[in-house]
Amino acid sequence: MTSTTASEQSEDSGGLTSLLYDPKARGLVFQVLLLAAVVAFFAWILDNTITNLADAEKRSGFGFLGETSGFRMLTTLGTFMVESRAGVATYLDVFWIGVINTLAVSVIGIIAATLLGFIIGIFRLSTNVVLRGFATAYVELLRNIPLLLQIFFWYFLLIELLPGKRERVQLAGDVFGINKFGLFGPYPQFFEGFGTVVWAFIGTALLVWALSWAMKKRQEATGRPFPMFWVGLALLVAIPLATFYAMGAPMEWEFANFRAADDLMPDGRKVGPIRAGFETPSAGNPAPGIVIKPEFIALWLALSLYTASFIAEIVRAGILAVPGGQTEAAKALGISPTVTLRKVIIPQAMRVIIPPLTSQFLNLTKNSSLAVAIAYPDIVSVFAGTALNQVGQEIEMIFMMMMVYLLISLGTAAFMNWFNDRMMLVER
Amino acid sequence: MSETHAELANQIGYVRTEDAPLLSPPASEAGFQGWLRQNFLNSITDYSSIGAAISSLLMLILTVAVLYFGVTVGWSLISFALIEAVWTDPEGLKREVCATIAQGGPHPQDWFGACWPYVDAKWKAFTYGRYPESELWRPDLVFLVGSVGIAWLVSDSVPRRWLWGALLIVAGVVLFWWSTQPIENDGVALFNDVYDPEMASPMGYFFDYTPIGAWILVAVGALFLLLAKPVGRKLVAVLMLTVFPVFAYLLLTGGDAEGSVGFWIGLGVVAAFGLGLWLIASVLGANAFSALLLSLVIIAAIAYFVWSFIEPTTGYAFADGSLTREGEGSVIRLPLPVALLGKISAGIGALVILYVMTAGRAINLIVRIMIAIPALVMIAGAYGSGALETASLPVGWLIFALLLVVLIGFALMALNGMNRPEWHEAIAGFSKSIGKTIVILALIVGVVAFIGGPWLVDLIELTSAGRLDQFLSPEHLAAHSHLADGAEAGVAPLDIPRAVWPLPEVETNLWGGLLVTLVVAIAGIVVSLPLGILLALGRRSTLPAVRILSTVFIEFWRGVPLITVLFMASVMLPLFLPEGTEFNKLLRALIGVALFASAYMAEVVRGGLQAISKGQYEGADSLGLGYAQKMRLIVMPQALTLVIPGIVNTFIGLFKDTVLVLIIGLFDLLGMVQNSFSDSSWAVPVTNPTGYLLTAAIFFIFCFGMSRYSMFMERRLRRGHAR
Amino acid sequence: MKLRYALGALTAIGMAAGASAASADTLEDIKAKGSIQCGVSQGLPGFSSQDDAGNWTGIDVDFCRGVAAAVFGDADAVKFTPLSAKERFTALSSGEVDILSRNTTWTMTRDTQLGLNFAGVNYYDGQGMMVPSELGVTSATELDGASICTNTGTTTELNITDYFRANNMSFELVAFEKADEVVAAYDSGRCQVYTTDRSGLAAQRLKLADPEAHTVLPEVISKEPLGPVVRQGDDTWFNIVKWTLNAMINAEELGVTSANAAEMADSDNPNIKRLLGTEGTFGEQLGLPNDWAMQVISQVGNYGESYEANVGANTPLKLAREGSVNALWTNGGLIYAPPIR
Repeated sequence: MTSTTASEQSEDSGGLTSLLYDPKARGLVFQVLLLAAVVAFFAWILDNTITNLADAEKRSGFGFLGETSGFRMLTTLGTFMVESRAGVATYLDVFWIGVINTLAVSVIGIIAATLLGFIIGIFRLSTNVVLRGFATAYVELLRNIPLLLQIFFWYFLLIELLPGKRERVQLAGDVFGINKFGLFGPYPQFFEGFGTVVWAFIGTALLVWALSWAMKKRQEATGRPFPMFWVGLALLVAIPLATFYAMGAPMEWEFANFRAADDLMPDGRKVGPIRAGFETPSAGNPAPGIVIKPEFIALWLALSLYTASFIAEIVRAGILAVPGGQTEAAKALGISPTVTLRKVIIPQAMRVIIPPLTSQFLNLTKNSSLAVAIAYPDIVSVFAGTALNQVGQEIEMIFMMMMVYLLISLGTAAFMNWFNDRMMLVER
Repeated sequence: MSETHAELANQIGYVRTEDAPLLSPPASEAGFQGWLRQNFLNSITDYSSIGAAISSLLMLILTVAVLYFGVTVGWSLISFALIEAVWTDPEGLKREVCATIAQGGPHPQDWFGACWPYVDAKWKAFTYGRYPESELWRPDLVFLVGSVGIAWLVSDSVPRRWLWGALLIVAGVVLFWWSTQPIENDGVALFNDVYDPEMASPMGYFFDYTPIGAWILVAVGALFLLLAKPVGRKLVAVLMLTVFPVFAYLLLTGGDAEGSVGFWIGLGVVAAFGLGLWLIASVLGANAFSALLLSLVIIAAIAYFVWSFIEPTTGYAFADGSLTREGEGSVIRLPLPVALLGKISAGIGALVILYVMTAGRAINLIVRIMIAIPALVMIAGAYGSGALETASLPVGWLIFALLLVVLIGFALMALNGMNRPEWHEAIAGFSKSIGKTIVILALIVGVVAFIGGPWLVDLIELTSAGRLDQFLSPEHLAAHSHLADGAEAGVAPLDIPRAVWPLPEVETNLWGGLLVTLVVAIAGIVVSLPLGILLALGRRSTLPAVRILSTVFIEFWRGVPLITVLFMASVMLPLFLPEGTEFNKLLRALIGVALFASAYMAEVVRGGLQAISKGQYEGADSLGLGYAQKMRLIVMPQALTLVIPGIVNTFIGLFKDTVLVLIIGLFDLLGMVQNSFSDSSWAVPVTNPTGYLLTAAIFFIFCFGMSRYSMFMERRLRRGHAR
Repeated sequence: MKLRYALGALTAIGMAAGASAASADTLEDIKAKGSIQCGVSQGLPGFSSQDDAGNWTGIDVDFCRGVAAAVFGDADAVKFTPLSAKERFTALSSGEVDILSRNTTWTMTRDTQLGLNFAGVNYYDGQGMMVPSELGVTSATELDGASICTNTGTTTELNITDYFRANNMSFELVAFEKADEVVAAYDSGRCQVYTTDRSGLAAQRLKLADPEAHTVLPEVISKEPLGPVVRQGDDTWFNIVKWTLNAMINAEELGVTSANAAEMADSDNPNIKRLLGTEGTFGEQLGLPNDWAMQVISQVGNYGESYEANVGANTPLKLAREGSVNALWTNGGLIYAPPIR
């Protein structure tokens, strides 16, 4: 009786006390306080920054993006795709070149790292002690040494071991040339009619897609399998190839020129020791062929090999996560080991593999920023490095650079989430 | 039953009466041959069908290729590092000893081997950077204490403890022996310079004359051999998490005799995060509140320790001469050893109390008190010696100190014993809450007395002189403030010698090498663990603002590369702060690394939180526990135990990432190694590979060791679950 | 008392920043803290570099020691902060350092836009190029199509691009973040040309496997007057830094060296007397003791001594002064200082 009175009294004594003990109200107050603190913190930073910038009489804003940059960049995918000539290219172009280069090395690195990672991961579980030992040594060695060291290692190993510029070392006949200045390869030159080949390819791809859909339906209905992979591959190769020759082979490979020091140039001058070697195509010099710079190769190698060691562990864990009963059940059903691997183990393992794989892809992309150490012009090196030194607007430029990485991260994460969801559905 | 069986067997002739003898398995299935078959031959010798033949053949080719590749790489590594390597430089030739004939050395043209004398010449730079020669014993001591502490904590759970212990001791002895081997030309020992008594610090003989590595190896090895069971692990863990960071901070920076603001902030931050870590540790084991309390006491003891060193040895004189303590000419400076004794006794006293309070249930309250009393007296004695040192009012100091110590000691014992049956007996007649109130009041009084001590002393002194008005004068009150300089406050500052603090300051731009690598990595983990837990809780919070802010914070830092974070810390941070804010470069990097790591840590912890089944949360709710209690008592202990391997992996990643600080111009291990390449007296082509190999090996040893230990722990934990 | 520190700490935590404002009165601040904070490079032999024992040497270091001698009468009352090219101006304007003596080029933008004041020039530099001698190149005009290594962070990339564009030559630029990598890449043959300031070339050349097998080309493609920098808006401090440099140059011109400074104080030459403080009150005009220049010269030496000891012909850098722009104006160079009068 007394207790009832007490509680009634406390209720009577006003909403304030009860409000104090109301989790919702407390939560609200806490959030408001937190938000206020965060806003105040950022306001404080903003105020400081504005004061500091004003005192330093520095300009701000993104106007610099339209100005021309006065420096030269290393020949890379970015400089092929975007205007890069010094004095013509704007800082915005420089930005895009950096972005393209970052994406290029990341995408190619991801592909290589995934392939190698799966191979090493499967080696890790091999019954062959040599392969298993090698895979273990590989994983333990590479993932326990800082990536920056590995990048230095590959870069200096490459430029130390590769032949000098004036030496003519060629691979695969005379298709590729290689030296300290890069890997020189053929570049396709297209003639009229190549568009038809492209369209033929697109058409075949659509056809293959439709066929695979139909065959899947048929298999679901009748149970009769169809070797879709081989048929599809054959179609995809055969039809465009046929079109290609039907159109009179409207494409030729251009090979890099090799010039010895004593050769004569078209204008009659001697080539000389500086220009001797494979002719390097670049923004200002439309030479034949294509070149991949050692900076790219070293960075790509280091990133792929390093990340592969992590992917291998993920793959191993994923395969081990599939219960042994699954393999045994497949065996009991008379399914062959290869099919068991493809249809039973891998799909289930992928469920475990994909989420950590995503974060490895992101790690690789972020790690590509170490390019700055070996002069590969990625976004950090060329935009937050060289261009930042010219322009001096740290805030805007570092902000842009961080946004690039954030967008790549969020984009990759979104894609992998979508892919993951699909895998989940397939599994169910 | 067996009898019937035997009878039956006797009746029927064809039933065996005993087991057939066990045959050993066929040679092809057992022993080395069987192992080889199962692990190697089976995969390459199956040609029963076309498919199997193809795969076997493929496997064979792969095996041969991999074997060839592995052997080639392994051999060239061994050849470079061991066989072709140059080991000594007895004549002090420097670069010539590692040069080919063309470069002016003894080696043939295609020689390629490591140049270890170069590492020998540079090892100090690689380990400490440019830390002053005469102060090297300080990082050494920190390394030693740190590794011994860690070894103490992990000793009983190290796989093959005996083997490792013996190996480490042997390695240590070899290193020790090696370091004392004189080299012919000038008697300089390897890894060493000649011991110079004038340059050396008191402890220098031990640490300067022999490489600290030898001491560490021997000490850790000995611990592995001796500690088969966890002994005093709680105590060591407490010390490592709270005292050690503060100790390391003070020793490495050398304190700051000026008592500058930045120094105290640094100390505060170190102490705060030490506390945070301990709180986490206590969640995993002990009572959090008593843990918090104990760490406060430890911090206070350390603060006292420091203060008593840097305290000015004379007082202030008022302009009118009314308070002239030193005017009596009674400034007695104790000889340093005596003062040290006092401080050491205080330290031991604090430790004893700590031990008594944290030891298991076996010790009853009476015994605790019996042990605690001498310890209290020791601390009191220390305060007494401190008071003597200042010699202003010994009796006043003594009274104050005793009062304070008794208060804190009482509060401590009371709080710690509160949950024990003895306590309930002891306070029979009081309600539990009154008991708690008394304790907390006592604690507050104690802390106030501790901080307000000097005022108290003045109060006693001035009231007894009938000058209470003097005490209350703003000048006097202000005279105790650091910010108000004596002159401004109308007080004539006397010449205050501050020589008592024995350590000169070592600025962080002199730090380098492994020291910086370890400082960055450890500071990163120390900060990121508490922050990461907060963020993980925030991300799972039901409050939308908290959740969104935490998520944005985590995703932002996880979305950008560390190098851009470091760029930001080095270039943009100064712009974000009020103009003129001075910011240490190392600190900037630490902030960047810590924020970055805490985002990753948050995701690891979140994984652990998600793995805890909903029933645990609901169970906690149904018990009526609040959010904090639920997390602290139910969820976190399980979640953190689950993610220990993840935490270690994050730490390994962080450890490797520390090399990036060289890009913003800090000289970590790799930075120092690269820096040494520019020394023309060692400029030969093989120095760069040697330096890189050394760096890679050091990182490999650290990371591999940690990952192995984490895997071992993981297995142990999993086994625990399986049972 | 203990309490001072306790309260200090509490107050400071309350303020939540380890701040010590860079007030307008640099000299007062410096006197209060007892030493000068000097921003130098992270390691450029001859200009500022650290030996194994952690001692700084170099022409830029000497200058800071000179300022310390002028202010405190003690050339050792200076602390050095190694700065990267990126950080240097932020460090100066935020008050992290009091002087920036870090081979910094005096340009109009920096003088007008960045809130800096250049106190003079202590080394006239210019961007040069180095090539392996075996290429047989004698002039930069033969470098069409060359691959060039350099490091980011300065104007070198702009200068080299301008030069090649002006001469209508094509080239490839490989720009590294740090000088160590540039040297390593050039040495291994990745580039045919290494370009940076000529003083830098002389210094970095020492790191090459065979320093003698490389040639520095005669072309100087930019003007790089390097000098000490201070914050704008504190003329007292600006004057002290400026006149410390001028005193070192004047001392050389007048033949006052660290060895003979004490005797020269009694010289009959009024110029020397004014310099060394035995006549006039020039020190007081700067807010310094009258023997300020005496301290600079006796403890650090005159400009010529500093040059010869750090970058001159007898140092590993072998940058001969005779006949170069860095000779005294009386010897046909550009090193000139206004008189102390």
